Amino acid sequence: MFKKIIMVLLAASMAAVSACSNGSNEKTAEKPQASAKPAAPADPFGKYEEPVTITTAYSVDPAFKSTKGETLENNAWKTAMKEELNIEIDIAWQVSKENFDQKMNLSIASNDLPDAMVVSQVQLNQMVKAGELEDLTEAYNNYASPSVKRIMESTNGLAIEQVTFDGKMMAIPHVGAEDFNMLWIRQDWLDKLGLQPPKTVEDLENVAKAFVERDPDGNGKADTIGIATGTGLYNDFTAGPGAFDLTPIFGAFNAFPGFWVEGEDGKPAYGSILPETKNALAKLRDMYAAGLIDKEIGIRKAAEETVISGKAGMFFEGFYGGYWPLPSAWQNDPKANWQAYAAPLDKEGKYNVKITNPSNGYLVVRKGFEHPEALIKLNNLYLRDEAIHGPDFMLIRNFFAPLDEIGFEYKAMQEVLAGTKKPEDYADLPEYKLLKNSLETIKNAKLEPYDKLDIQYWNQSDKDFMRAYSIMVGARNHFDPNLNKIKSLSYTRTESVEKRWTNLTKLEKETFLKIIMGSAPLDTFDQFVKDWKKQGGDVVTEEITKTIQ
Amino acid sequence: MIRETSAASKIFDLTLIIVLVAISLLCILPIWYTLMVSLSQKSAAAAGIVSVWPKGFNLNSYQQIMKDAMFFNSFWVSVQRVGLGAVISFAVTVLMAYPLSKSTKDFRLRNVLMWVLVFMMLFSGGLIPLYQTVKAYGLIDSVWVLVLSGGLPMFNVILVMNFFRNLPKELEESAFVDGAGPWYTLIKLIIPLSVPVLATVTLFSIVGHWNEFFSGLVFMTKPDNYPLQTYIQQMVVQMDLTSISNDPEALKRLNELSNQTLNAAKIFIAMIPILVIYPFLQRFFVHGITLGSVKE
Repeated sequence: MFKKIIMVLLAASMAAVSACSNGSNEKTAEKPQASAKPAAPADPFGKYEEPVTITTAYSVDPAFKSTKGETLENNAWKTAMKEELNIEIDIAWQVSKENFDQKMNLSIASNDLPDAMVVSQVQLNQMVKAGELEDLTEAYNNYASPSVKRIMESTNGLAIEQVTFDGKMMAIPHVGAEDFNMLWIRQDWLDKLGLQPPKTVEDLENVAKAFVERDPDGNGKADTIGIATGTGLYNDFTAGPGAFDLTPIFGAFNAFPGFWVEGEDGKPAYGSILPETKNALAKLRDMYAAGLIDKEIGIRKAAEETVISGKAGMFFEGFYGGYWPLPSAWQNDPKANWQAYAAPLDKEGKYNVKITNPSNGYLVVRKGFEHPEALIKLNNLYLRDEAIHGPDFMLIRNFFAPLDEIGFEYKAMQEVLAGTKKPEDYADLPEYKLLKNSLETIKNAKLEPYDKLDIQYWNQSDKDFMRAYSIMVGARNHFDPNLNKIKSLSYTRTESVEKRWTNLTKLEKETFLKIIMGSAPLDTFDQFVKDWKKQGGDVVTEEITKTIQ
Repeated sequence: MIRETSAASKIFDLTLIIVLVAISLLCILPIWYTLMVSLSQKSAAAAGIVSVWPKGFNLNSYQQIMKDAMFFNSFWVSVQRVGLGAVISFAVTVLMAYPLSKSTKDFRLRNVLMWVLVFMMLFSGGLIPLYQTVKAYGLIDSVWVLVLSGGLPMFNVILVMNFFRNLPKELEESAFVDGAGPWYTLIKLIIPLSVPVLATVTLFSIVGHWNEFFSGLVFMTKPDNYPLQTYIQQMVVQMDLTSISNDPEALKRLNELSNQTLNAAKIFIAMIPILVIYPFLQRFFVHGITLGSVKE
C-alpha cells in the first residue's frame, strides 16, 4: 500500500514537472520573431523596411512624472524611433531603479532574458560567462555613428577594453562625463570668522577647528560640525566618484586607496595597503579625535543631514552640489553661501584627484537576437536628437557624454557671461546635450555681477538654477591649475575580483573606519595588510597585473 | 484579591511598571516618529531635526497621496490579495490539519506525510526554481501568484492540528454514532469549537499577506500590479552614496529620492489597516496560540 502511494506521488510529480517545461517551451516559441531584412548596409540611421521589435527590461523611477505629460505608451521618442528607424520597443518587465539589479539577476540566473537591456559590469561578466550574449563587434564597427565613436575614443580605449572578451565586443559601454570630488565649504562662515579658504591639510584642520569651536552660526550653542561625511570613506576602482567621503584628504597624502597604482618596484600595487594610506589614516584619526570630523559618522540616517540642517561647514562631493543636497539646505537657510574649492593640496601643492571608470552601465543583446545593429542605430538616434525630443523615455539607452562635458560647459558659460561669445557660437555640438539650454538660460539664473559667485547673486527660483550653480561653482575647479589626475592602472573586474571583492572590501572598510574612529590602534593597519594579502588580495593583484600587460 | 503592601513588593511593582512602559514606548515611538515626519516640512525631515513633535506642521504629503493613483491602485491589489489569501489559506489549512490530527490507526500514512510536510517547511527549492515554476503556470503578473505560492502555511497547519488533537475524542465519537460523516463533523463540530486557533492563524495570514513585499517585486512585471508594500519598498530604498552618476537627469531626481515626508506618510497609511484589525482579533490571538501549542 505504502509503496503504491509513493509511486503515484512520484508519477504525479513527474507529470507536473513535464507540464511545466512544455509550458515554457511554448512561451519561447511564441515570442515575436523580428522578421525584417536589414536596410542598406552600414547606414547608422538607416530605416528598416519591416518593423523590428525589441523586447527590453525598463528601470523606472517611481517618483518620476513627465513634465510634458508624456507616458510610456505615448511619447516623442516612441514616435521618432518608429518614423526614423521603424523600431518598436516592447517592455518585458519594468521595475524601479533600486530593485533593477535584483530582478535582472533573477533573469540572468533563469536565462529568461529580454532582447536587449542595460546591465552592470558584474552582470555583464556573468552573462558573458554563461554564454547568454550576442557578439556586437561587427554591429558596432559598421553602424555606430561618428559622434558615438568620437565619444568612445575620447576615453583612450578605456571604455571598450572593459567589454572586450577574447577580442570580441560583447556590450556597448556607457561613457559618462569626467568629474571628481572637491571641497564644498560655507563661505559665509569663513568670512564671519575672518578665515581664508583652506589650501593645505593644516589649513583644513584649522578651519574645521574654528567651525567647531567659534560658533560660526551664531546661535550661542556649540552644535556645529567641521567636516560632514558618511561611512564610504573613498571609492575603489569599481565605483565612484562618491559623495560625502574623504577621498581628497587621502589624495593630499598621495594615498589612493581602492585604486591600482604603481608600487615602488614598478609593479601594480593596491593603493589601500601602501604606507601613504597609513599616513592619511593617522591624520584622519587625529582629526576625528579632535572632533573635526562629524563625531556621529555612520550613526545618522543620512550623511547629508547636517548639511541640510545648517550644522556642517564642509563636505566633499562632485561638481553637482547645486543639484543635491544644497537645494534642501537652502530651503532651511537661503543665505548659506556654499562654495567649492580644489583643496586640500598635497606637499608639492598639487590637488590629486581620482579619475573613475567612465562606464557605469553596459548595453547587452541576447544571444540569437536577429538585429543587434538595431540597438546601435537606436542609440545613434538618441545621441543625435536628445536636444529635440528631451531626456524622458529613452529606453535601452546607452548613456553617452563627452568626457569633458562638465568643464566644457563651464568654459562656454563663462564666455557667454563675459560677452566674448554668444550662445549661437556653440551651435552644432549635439553631443553636449544640455549646452544649448544652459547657455540660453544662464542669465536668468545668474544675477549681476557675473564674476561674483556668492549665493546672493543667484536667482534660486529659476528653473535652470541647479545646473547653472553646479557648473559655475563646482565645475570651475575642473580648470584649477593644481589639478593632478590619477587613473587606476586597471578598471577591470577580473574573475577573482568577482569572487573576493565583497569580502576584501568589507575587511578594508571596517578596519579603516575602526582606525579613524579610534576603536582600533593605528598599527592594526599592518595586520590588515597581511590579512588582505592572505585572503585573496595577492591573487587579485596578480590577475590585475596580467590585464595591464 | 489580596494586595501585598510591604515596601519591597511596591518597589518590585514599580520596577515592573517602568520596564513595561519602556517596552511599550519602544514599540510605539517608531510609529509616532513616522507620523511626525509625515506631518513635517520636507526640508526639516531631510535635515533630521524632527523629534517628538512635527517641525513646520502641514498636510502636504497626505494631499499628495490623495492625488496618487498608483498608491490607491496598489492599495486595491493588497486588499484583493489579503481577501483571497486569507480565504484560501484558511480553507487549505483546515483541510490539511483535520486529517493530520487523526491517529495513525485511522490514517496510516499520517506520520510519513507529516515528515514530508515538515521537510518542505524547512527546505525549499529556492527562488529561481520557484520563479520558473510560476512562469510555466502563466501566473506572472497575476494576483493569484501572491496567494497561491506559499498558500499553505505549514506552521499554521501544525498549530491548528495540535488544537484539533486536544479536542475531546468523545465528541467526535458521539457525532459519528449519530450518523455524522467526516465532512459534517468537521464543519458543524470541529470548526465551531476551534474559533480561537482559527482566528489566530487567519490573523497571521492577513498580516503576512499585507506586509509581504518581495514576491510582488519578483513576480510582477509592471508597477501597476504591485501590492502596496512593494510599491512603498521601492520608494524608500536608501541611495548609494559611493557611486553617484553625473547624468544630469539622475542628478535632478536625487532630491526627490530623499523625500522623507512623503514616504513616511505612505508608510503610515499602509500601517492603518493592520492597526485597525489587530485589537479586534487580539483576544483570540493570545488565547489561541497558547492552547494550540500544548501537545498531548
